[in-house]
Amino acid sequence: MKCSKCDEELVVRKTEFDYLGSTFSHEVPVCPKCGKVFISKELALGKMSEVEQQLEDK
Amino acid sequence: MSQEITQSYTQSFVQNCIRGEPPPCAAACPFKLDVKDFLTKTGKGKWTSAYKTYRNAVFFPSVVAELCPEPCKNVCNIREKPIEMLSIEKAVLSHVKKRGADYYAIPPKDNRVAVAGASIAGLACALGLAQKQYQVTVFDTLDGWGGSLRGHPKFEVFDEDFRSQFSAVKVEFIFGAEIDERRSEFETVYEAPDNGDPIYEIVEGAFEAVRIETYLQTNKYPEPQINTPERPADSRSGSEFSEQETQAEASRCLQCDCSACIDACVMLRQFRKEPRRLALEFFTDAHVNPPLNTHSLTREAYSCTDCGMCKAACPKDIDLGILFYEYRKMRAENDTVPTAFHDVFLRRMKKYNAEGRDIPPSGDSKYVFFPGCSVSTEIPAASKRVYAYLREKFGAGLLEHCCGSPEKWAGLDNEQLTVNSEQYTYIYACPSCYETLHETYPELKLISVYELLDDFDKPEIPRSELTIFHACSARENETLQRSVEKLAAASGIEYQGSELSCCGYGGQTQLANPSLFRDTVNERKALNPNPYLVYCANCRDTFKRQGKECYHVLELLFPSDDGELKSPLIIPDDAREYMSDNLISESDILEVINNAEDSGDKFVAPDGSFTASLERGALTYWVEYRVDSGNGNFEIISAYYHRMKFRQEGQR
Repeated sequence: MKCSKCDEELVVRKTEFDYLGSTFSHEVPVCPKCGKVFISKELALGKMSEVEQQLEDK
Repeated sequence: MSQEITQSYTQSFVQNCIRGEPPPCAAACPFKLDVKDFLTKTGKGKWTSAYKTYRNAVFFPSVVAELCPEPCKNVCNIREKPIEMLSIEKAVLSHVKKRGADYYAIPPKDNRVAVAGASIAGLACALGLAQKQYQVTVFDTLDGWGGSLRGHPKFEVFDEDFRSQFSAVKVEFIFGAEIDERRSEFETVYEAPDNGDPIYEIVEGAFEAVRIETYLQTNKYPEPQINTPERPADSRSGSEFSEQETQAEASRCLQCDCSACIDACVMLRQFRKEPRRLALEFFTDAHVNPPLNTHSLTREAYSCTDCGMCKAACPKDIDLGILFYEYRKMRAENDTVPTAFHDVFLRRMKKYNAEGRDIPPSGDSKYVFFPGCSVSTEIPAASKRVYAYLREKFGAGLLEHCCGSPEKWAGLDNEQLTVNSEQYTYIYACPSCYETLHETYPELKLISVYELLDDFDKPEIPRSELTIFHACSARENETLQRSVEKLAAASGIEYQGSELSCCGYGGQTQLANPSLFRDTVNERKALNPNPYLVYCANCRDTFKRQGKECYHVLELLFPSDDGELKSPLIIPDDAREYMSDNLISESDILEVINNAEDSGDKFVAPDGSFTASLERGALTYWVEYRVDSGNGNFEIISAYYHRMKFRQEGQR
C-alpha cells in the first residue's frame, strides 16, 4: 500500500488514538513522508470496534 | 433543564411496579403461603421440602389441608381450570415421608406467657411463641386441646398433627382448669377465641404470637391486625392425587408474575434486568460523580426505542421509557454522551434544516405543509406531489424543517424551530412529527395530511393483501389512525386488519445497539405475514431495509413518475447491505471520494484500487474504490467507519 500523493510505501508506526476521553497507542501503517494514517477495514471493524464498544459500555 | 433523577422521582417508577410481588393466589391465601415455591417443589416431587414450606406457613398442615376454603382457587389466573391447591396440599401430606417438627436452636427466654384456651387460635399462638423459646403455658377448661374442633369427625388426624407440631418445643398444657388465680404469674395472657372459623383463627393466633413477642421486647403492643382477612366462598374440591398426578397438577402452575413491559419490549428482554433494578441503577448512576461513576447503563439508556409500549402494556401505567429519556438528557447535560450513537442522525437533520425550504401560504390560506425529514427524503416524489396538491387546493405553504425528534432522542434540547402558532395550522405527514411538535408546542394547531385528502382524485388501488401497521407514535392519536384507515378504504385498499407496534426505529438506537435493532425489526416484521401499509416514513424505511414488503400510503396515492436519479456509484450487494446496516449513505461515500479525488489524499493498493478517508462529525469514513475512467463511475469495494480519532504526525 502506497500513499498516492507522496508515492511512498507505508511503514508501520506507533500512532495515538482517542475515544471518549481515553488515549492509547497502536502500530498502524502510515506514510513516512506526510504521516497520513491508513486504517484497514479489518482493523476498523475488528479491534477498533471492540475497543470502542468496551469504552462505550464502561 | 431535564427532570432531575432524584430518589423520589425514581421511586415513583419502582413503587408501583408489581413485578416480584406475590401472585394473586399467595395474596389471597390466609397464610400468605409462597404458592409458587410450594408448587415448584411439589412439581419436582420434593415432598419434604414442599411439606416444610407448607407447614411453616400454615402451622397445622393436616387441619388446614382439611378445612381451608381454598380462596386461592377463586383467583388463579388459569381461569378455565384453576390449580387444585387443596388436593395438592392433601397429596403432599400423604406422600411426604418425614412429617416431624423442626427444632429451633434459639436460647430459651425467661418471659412467661399464658394462653387462655387451647382452641386452634391458642395453639397457633403457643406454637409461634414456643418456637422462639418463650415459656408458654396453655390453660383450657376442657380435657384436652382443639376447642370446638374436638367434635370434628377428623379430630384424630388433627390431634396427631398437634402432637407432631408440638413435639419439638416445650409448652406446658394445663387442662380442666381456669387461668384465673394464676393470671399474675405471666407477663401477658392471650385470650384465644374459638368461634368455629379455624383457618382464620390460626392466622389470628399466629399474628398474636408476633404481637406478644413485640410487646415482650419493646413493652409496647403493635396495632392489632388492620385488615381482617376476607372470608371468601368455599371453593374446595376433593380430588385425590397419586404422586404423579400431584406433580403434574403442581406443574400446571404458571408461576404468575407481571412481565407485561418485558413481554412488550425486546430491549428489556435482552438486557434481562428487572425494570425496578433498571430504575434504581439510573438513580445510582446519576448520583455518582466522575471519575467514580461507571456509566454502566450507557448501552441500555441508548437502546430504548421511546415507543411507549412498556407504558401501554403496564397494568399500573408506569412509563419506564421516560426514565431512559430523562437519563439521556442528563448525560447530554453532563457532556458524557457517546456522540457516535446519534451523530449520523443529527448531521442528517442539520443538513435537511439547512437545505429545507420555507414557503409562506398563498393568499389568506392558514395552512403550512410540514412533510418532515423522513417523508421528504424517503418518498421525495410523493412529498413533492402532496405539496403541489395542498398548494393548489388549500394554498398551503411549505416548511421543510426537522420536528426535533433526533435531538430529543439524543437527549438534546430541540433546535429552535420557528413556528407561527397564532397564524398557521401545520399539516403533518409523519406521526413522529406530530408527537414531537405537540410536545414542544402544545398550543400549535396540527392536522394530518390524511384528513385533507377527501376531495383528492385518488387512484384506485386494488390491493387486498396489505395490513395497516400503526406506528408507535400514533398510539394515542386515534384521529390519525382512523383517518388513514378511512383513506385506505376510500382508495380501494381492502386492508387485512391492523397492527399497532414499533418498527424499531424510534429512539434511533441503530448505531448504539445494532443487534438489538435488528432483532426488534425482525420481531415486528413477523407480527403479520402480510406486507405492511404504513404512514410513518421511518417504519417504511426500517422495514424495507430489513426486507419486509412495505408501502407508505402516500407513495401509493401519489406514485412517482420520475426515473431514478443516476448515481455515479456502482455498489455491490454485500457492500450495500453493510452500508444500510451502518447508516452509510451514498452521499457520505461521494463526499469521501470527491475529497480524495480533488486533494489527491488517498492510498493506492498494488491492484490499483484506492482507499480514502474523511472525518465527518464523530465518525471517520473510509471508502475502498476503483475509478472507471471510461464513464467517470466509481466502483465501490467497501465502505466503513470508526469512532475513534487518530492523531497523524504533527497533530496534537
